[in-house]
Amino acid sequence: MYRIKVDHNKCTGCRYCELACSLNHLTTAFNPKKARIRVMKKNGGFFPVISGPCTQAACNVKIDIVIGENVYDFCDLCRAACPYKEVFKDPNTGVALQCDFCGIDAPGPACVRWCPSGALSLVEVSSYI
Amino acid sequence: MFGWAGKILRVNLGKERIFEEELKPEANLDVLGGRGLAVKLFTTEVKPEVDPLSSENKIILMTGPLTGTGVNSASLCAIVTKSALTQTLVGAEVKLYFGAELKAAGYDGIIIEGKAKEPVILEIQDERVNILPADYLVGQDTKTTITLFKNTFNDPWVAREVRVLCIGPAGEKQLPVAALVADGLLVSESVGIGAVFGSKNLKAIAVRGTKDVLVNNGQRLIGAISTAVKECINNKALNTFSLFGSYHTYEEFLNKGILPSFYFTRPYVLSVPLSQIQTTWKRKRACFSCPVACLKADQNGTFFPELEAFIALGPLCGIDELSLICKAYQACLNNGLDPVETGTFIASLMKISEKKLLEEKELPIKVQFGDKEAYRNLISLLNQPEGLFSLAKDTASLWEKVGETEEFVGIKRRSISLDISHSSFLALYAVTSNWPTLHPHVYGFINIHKEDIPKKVKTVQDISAVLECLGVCPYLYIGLPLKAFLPMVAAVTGLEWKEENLLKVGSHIISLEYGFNQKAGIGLEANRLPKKHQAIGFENMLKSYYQLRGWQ
Repeated sequence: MYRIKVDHNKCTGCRYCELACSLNHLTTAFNPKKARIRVMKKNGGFFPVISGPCTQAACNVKIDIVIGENVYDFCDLCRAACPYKEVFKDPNTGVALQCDFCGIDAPGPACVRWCPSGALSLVEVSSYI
Repeated sequence: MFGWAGKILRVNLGKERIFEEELKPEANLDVLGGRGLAVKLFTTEVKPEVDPLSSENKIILMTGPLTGTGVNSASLCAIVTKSALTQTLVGAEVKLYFGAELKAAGYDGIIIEGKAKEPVILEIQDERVNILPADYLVGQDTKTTITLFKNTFNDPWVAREVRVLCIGPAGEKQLPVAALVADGLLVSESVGIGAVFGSKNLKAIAVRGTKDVLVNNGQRLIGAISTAVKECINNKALNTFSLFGSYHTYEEFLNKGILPSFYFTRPYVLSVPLSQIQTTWKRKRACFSCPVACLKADQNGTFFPELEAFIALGPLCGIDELSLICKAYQACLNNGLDPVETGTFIASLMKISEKKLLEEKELPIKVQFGDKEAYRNLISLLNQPEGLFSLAKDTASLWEKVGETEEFVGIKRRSISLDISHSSFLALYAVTSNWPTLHPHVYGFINIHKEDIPKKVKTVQDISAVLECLGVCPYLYIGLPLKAFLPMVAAVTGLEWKEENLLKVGSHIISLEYGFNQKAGIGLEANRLPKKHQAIGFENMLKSYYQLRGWQ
């Protein structure tokens, strides 16, 4: 099966993947806020995160630490892949958006095709480990 | 019409009122958008003789029709105002994500007028536009300002997506050398605008937009962008630019003597090789939808200085320690100071001290060319910019104060950090620019034949203006010709433009800007090279340039 491989060391933060995804699904409009892949910034690096498939088990390891008035979210990147996370909800309708792996034919989904830095690539894996 | 949002925000800070105005793109096709539209609106609304720091001066931010549409490198948002440093019109370009976010919020631009009574921050989240008090941000550096402001949001995801354009303590003190910083990156050519923000008590502008940016023909645009991105990736010149950023001509400049040191008293002798500079870059950073990624950052995401800033803060002061230069650059960014002006000011102080033009007790701090210890003290002094600039507000005034105006190296009171007397092309480009600039994308033209220089300078200026009107980064001109953008302009806006018509737009804008400057009292007589940096045959070149433009 095919999967999208993310090499965050190569990501420059140009957000072409978000643009490609939104144009592919909206057909005549761009809106990175409606993309099913979002580029997160953490400690000076960029991490493209794909709104992944739902699993049967609910997340039960969520950790929020409150210091003073601020809430620090300790599952930032991992849990960001959850399609029910705010960042993947359509800003108008609130509907959770999920990656539908558009275009299985080579060279792959829109985000992979458009990525100019080579951070995203399509790889074939035998199965889930 | 597609590409334009069709709405402009007019924010009156004095009356604390916000209006939404309709923008008719059809009526403004002579200037397109971006820098052109901002200049057109500014020159019709503001009198040329206005004092830059008075409440009558306005700040106009404007995105281009291609900004935020996914066209390669279309991320620009122009800021036009009357500069507090040069007293001319000035147009800076905000890079990274600010422009795209403003377009997604549903606005083409913002007109800011009046003066707020207390420090404020302008917050735009789609239709929700607020003028918020910013007392808690007073005196804070740019980094802290952004963090503190983002902390006011309950939702961390929203806070991440807010883009903040702000000034530092230097801007608040209304120093002419103050610049703007957007999301940790210096806004290029924004020197002289920081003080205008400060005079209006406007600490920052924050934007987040969630709307769709509509295009005329999505399928055609996909094809056009794919072709252009492929061209960018396979283009040799752009590849070099992507690899080295503004340092792409470093060694050539070095051989030609364009890089000076010790405040222009001797040519720079290589002490920091390009390979050493390269090892400090850990990451390539790109602006919104840019396949080139010419920005350089370290492991923590801190930006590396561009060539002009590097020369000003390093070799001009006799400093060759890379980590010190980076530290000084970071201090400039934190305090909202322009690094070129700051570097040349420090270097001037060193030269004044060396020539004993002022007594030691008159200098704000002990300085000496190449003295690393004194330089370290200077960096910490940058945290109180008004202390360093107590002697004079900018480099030009400093040399006026000591009575040696011919020692000042700059054009129209704006310092330059390259020795342009060794390149007629750079000299003509900088002198004839309506606000003195030396963009990195023109560095590569220094070898063209002398007779072709005036025509080439005009063409490059016109094309840069057109690209900035469209919202596209002019640096792409290194590898992509203007006609490569025509299919994308057509796919986004639905308008079929010809290259010669676009060039006319560029020429028209340059003339509009020049007309404003002339009425403001800065006409052709100000187009002079620094006294000690004359280039051979320059006057003739200037004449043929004026003939091409039709200026008397």
